[in-house]
Amino acid sequence: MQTRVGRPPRQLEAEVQAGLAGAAVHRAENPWPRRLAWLGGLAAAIWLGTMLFPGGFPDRLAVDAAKPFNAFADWASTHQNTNAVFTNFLVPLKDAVNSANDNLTLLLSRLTWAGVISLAAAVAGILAGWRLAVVAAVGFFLMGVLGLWTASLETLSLILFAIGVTIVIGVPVGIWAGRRPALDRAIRPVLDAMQTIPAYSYLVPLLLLFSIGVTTALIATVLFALPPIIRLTTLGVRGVPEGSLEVGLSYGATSGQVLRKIQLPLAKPSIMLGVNQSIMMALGIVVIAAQVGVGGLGLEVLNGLRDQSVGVALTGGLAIVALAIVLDRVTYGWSEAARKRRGVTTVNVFGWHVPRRAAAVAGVVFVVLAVIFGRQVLRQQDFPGGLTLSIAGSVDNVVHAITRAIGGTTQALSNAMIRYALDPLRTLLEGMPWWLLCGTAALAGWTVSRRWTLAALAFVCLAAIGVMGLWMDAMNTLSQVIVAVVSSVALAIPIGIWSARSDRVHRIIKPILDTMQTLPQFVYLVPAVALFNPSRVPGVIAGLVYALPPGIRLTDLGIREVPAETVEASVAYGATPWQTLRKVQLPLARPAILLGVNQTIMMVLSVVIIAGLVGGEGLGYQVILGLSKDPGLGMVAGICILLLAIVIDRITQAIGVPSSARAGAGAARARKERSSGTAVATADAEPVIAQGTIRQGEGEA
Amino acid sequence: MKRTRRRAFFAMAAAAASMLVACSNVSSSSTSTGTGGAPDNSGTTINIAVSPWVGSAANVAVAKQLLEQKLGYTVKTTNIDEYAQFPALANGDLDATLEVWPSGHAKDYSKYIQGNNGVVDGGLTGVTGQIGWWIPTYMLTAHPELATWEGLKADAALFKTAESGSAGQILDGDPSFVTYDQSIADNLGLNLKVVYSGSEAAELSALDAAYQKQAPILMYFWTPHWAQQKYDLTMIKLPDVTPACTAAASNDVTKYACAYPQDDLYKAFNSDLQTKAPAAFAFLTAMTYTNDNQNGIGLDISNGMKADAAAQKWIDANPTVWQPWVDAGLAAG
Repeated sequence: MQTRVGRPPRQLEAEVQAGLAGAAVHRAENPWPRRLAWLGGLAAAIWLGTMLFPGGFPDRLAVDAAKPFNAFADWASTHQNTNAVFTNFLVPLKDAVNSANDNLTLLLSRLTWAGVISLAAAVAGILAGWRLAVVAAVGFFLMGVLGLWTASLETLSLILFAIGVTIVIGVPVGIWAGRRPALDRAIRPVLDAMQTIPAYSYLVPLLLLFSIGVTTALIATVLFALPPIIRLTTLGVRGVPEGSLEVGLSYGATSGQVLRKIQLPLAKPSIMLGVNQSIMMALGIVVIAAQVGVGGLGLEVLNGLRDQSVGVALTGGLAIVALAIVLDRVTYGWSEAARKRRGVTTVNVFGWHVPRRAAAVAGVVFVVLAVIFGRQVLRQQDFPGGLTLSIAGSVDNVVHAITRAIGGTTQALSNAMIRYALDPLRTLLEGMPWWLLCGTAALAGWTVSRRWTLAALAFVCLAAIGVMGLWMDAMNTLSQVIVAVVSSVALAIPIGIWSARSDRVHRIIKPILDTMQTLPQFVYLVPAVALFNPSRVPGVIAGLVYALPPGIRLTDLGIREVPAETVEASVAYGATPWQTLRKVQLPLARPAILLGVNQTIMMVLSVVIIAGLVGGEGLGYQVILGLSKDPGLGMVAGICILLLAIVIDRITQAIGVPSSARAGAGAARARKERSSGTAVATADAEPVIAQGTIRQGEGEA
Repeated sequence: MKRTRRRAFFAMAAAAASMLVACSNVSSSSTSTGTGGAPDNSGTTINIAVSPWVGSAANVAVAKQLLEQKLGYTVKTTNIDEYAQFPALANGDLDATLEVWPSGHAKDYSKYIQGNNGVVDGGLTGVTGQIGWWIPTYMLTAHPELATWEGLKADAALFKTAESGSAGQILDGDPSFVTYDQSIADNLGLNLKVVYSGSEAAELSALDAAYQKQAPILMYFWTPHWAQQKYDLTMIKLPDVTPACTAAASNDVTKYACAYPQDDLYKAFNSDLQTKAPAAFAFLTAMTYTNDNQNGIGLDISNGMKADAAAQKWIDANPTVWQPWVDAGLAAG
């Protein structure tokens, strides 16, 4: 859950690309008087409803949803040693996975540190060129220098294992969905839900079935990493030009031959991009894994949170970033290489073109020599202590100095945020009768999409939260999300505009955003807890900072995607830069910005949930409580978070759909594709989009 | 042709990998010291739970060092909260936990230990604990009535914060810790609201900040704890623990309305530990020490020493305390 909630950046860029086509909307009339009238009416209705009717959700409509879950949890915990399902299936599966993962970790550690670094460099070099071999070597070396060699290997083996399983499941499903549009339509909502669920929601039921340890973490990771690879495989298979297929069929190829010889080779770059994005999702979950008793880098971050040490958390976070950068660049470089140099069999080694096979042999020899060197000459299995550099102490000293210097100010800010934003909003939401809030959400759903299904979905999902008895907690969470999102967007859009108008700013903030998006959410919480009182505030602050990157990125991207001719036309008509921005660039960038807002919301929600660990109230606290004390409540709270997330996600995504697409028969399908959250490439989109997507990503990388 | 060659390559790579897994760790100079004379049990791994507080970390670190150095076991530690550890102890994913506070685990005790569901009682650790509501003693000079809950009733507003609103704030620790605080406050008619700081360390930093300003703070805390020596804290007297009070809450913790009982901390093991590792079982069963022993290690850890190093320091200084545990282990193994 940590890093990528919703969709990872490259998948997002693809969606922006596909969505922009219909975005050129010219509004002749000023829409604001009508909008204000609507808002005024709504505010009056809410005020009246709150005055006249009791707030909240009536107890008599609520059921004790936790009870059956708890009954099952009780049963499972006392029958796990005797029940046949456990003893014949779940336990052997768990033991096999645990020991396979232990062996993988053991194997990596016995290669010795010199061997592992060489192996990483060799794999990177063969797949993606010598530059990335250097990146890989430096990245792995850094993990050692940070003093986290053993922990890094534990995390690496969990990620490799999880990605292996993800590929084995995801690629066939993706291919199948690519060849059967009906299946694609059927699984799409499932994938949407999977990309919306905070990972915490998976943990409670998995804990009951697979106990603590690697298996639970692995399954949660796979569930989380599956959607991108399925989507991008489907996209790749469907993106193969009709003509290529016709050629194959007219030569008498069977369906299987068409798949193996035409569709798969042409879909390869897209599939590899899917692998890349799945890895990034998987890395996001390592801190969550630490909560179910798995060691590694995630545990370092969690220990930092528990010990109130920003230094310890940051050290762990930076090692995760190093691993993420290596895995991201190498797999991305690999997919790029596959796309650009289709059929080329040489590898670029320091400028020379070496046959791939020769490079592979040289790489194997190099790694074997390094392993022998590490085992026989250096005789060091772990990274030598003499080369490590501890930053934790100095970081902590700096943080303490900052806390002492501005602690008074931040505490005052914290109190103000509670008194003037969080409390009034929570009071308002809790004071509204449930049907009024559900009705408002339904109205919002209808207004943005003109579809009754979305309105009904919003109403039913929110009401279900009340039925499950967590209405007040949901309102509490919602108030925190709103405060954090409004602040985050208010910061992100100006920065995004600035970055879009200045290449220099863009260049400077890009690596910062990259790092921010890879640092685990927990790392943001630690300084927030140090600076602000234990309360809801640390979660809100950490959430709004953590969620800045997508807002900035997509604002920047949206403005930069505005065709140069359009901007020139506006300038030619004498528009000032401000007018061009306001009247041309921002309106055209609107779908991208709204997608950014959508992502901001999902990321904020994920942080507000984990802030249950540090005094955040609401649904997040209930899930945290569920992990330890009350599994039934945890499961119900997890479901409620999912429902809340779905409602918010669907409504905000629908706002992003250009209104021109709302009219016209042909656009109806496009709208459907968009609002279901996968505009990566629609059935009738040109395969060029896929290529364009990747090229866009390349420009960004 | 090409495919078979690729397959052969993968097969060779797999064979090489399995050879590496089978072969030994690279010997390093540090592991050969201190294991002289210990039996070789390195093929048996003892998996011990570490709960998220210093006392538990201290117990586990001491046990780990001695099990490895004197009895030759391989020890793995798993960081997990105190409730989630019970199902894992029952199925053998964990072998032992070394500090259970009974006041929060009556249900676990009857379900897993008395119910013979895979967990056995490992005996007392020798450490006695007390959870309670604590204030810095300096508060008593201006408000002597705070010594008891009746006095707190009138003074709840002293502890108001922005987050607790109109109620006074009682600062709790990790949400996974044993706590009945909100129930106690509600049932005794105290206008208090529980706010979770998130961890033991977060509570301590809040305490430290309050202490420096001599500001009011009311918190869930416990003894034994090294911080009790660094800060002068007073436990507010809550209504005595009576059988009636515990009985009223036995089925519904929200009915709890008295002080926390004194806790005789105990150990718990997976029921197969005795057959799997008899020496470790005997050693861990025999392991008992005092509040002072544990606090000494805890203080070193809180001053930045790694748990293993702090435990080693204690081991070097206190051989008479741990020698009987090791002897019990050697006799059984």
